Amino acid sequence: MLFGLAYSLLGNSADAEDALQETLLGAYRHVGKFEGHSSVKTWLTKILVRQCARVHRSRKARRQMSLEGMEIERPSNAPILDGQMDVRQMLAGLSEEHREVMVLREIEGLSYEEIADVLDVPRGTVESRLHRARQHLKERFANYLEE
Amino acid sequence: MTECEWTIRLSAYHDGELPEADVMAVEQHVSQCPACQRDLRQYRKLSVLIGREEIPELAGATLEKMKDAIEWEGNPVILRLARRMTGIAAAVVIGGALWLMTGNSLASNTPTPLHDWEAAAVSPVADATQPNTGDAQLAEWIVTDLSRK
Repeated sequence: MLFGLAYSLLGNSADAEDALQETLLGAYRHVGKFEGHSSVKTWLTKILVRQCARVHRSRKARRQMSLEGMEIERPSNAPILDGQMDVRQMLAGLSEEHREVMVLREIEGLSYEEIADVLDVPRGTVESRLHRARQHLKERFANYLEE
Repeated sequence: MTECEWTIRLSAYHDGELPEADVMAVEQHVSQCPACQRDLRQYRKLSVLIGREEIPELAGATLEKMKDAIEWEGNPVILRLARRMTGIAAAVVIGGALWLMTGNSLASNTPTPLHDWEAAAVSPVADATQPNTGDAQLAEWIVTDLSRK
C-alpha cells in the first residue's frame, strides 16, 4: 500500500522506493515518540506523503537548475496515447496538493476524514481540493471524458 | 457552460461523503440539471480511469535492501554510544563555561535561576527544541530530520 502510494505520487519506481525506505527508517528511528493519536497506518502515510512532497520539490529544483538558460522542449500537453489515457501523466499535471488528495481518494480509497488526518488539514479543505482537482482534470481532458 | 452552484457538492456526493440529508437534495437537483448530470458522468469516468492505474510490484531485492537498512539502523550500538557521549561532553563543556561565567556569584548563597535558553542548552536531550505535540508534527519533524542527512 505504501509503495503504491509513493509510486502514484512520484510517478516512478526508483523515487518511490527511496521515499518508502526513508519513511520506514524515519518511522523506525522515532517510533518511541509516536503518540498514537492516529493509527500506525495513518502515521506512516503522513510521513510518506510529506517525504514524497520533499522528493518532488527537490526534483523540481534540480530540473530548474539543469535547464536554466537552455531551450526547453515542452512535454506534450495531452497524455493520451492511442486513445488510452496515461494516468500517471494526468496526475503529474496536477498541483502537489491536488495530486495528493486525488491519489489518497481515488487510488488508496481513503475517506475524507482519513485524508484530512493524513494531510493535517480540515475536512472541508479536502472536499474543496478534490472538487478543484476534478474540475481541473475535467477541463483539461474534456474531449476525452465527454466521449 | 457556466458552473452550477451545486457543483461543489457533487464531488462529495460522488465520493459518498455527503450527509444523508444532503444526498436527497443533490439527487433531486441532479435529476433536473443536465450540467450536473454531465459532471457526475465525468467524475465517474475519471474514477474508473484512475482506479485502473497499474502499480508495479516492489521488487524482492528492494525489500531485502530496505530490511537490511532497518536492521543496520537498529544495530549500531557504537554509533548510539558515540552520540550519547557527544551529548554528555557538550553538556559538560557548556555547564563548565556557564560555571566560569557565573563563578563570582558562588560567593552568595542564593543561586541565580537559569534562563530558559540556558536550561535548554545544558539539557542532555538533543531534541529539546522539537516539541512533540502530535503525530502530524512528529511526521513533519521526521521528514525534516531525514532531509538533514
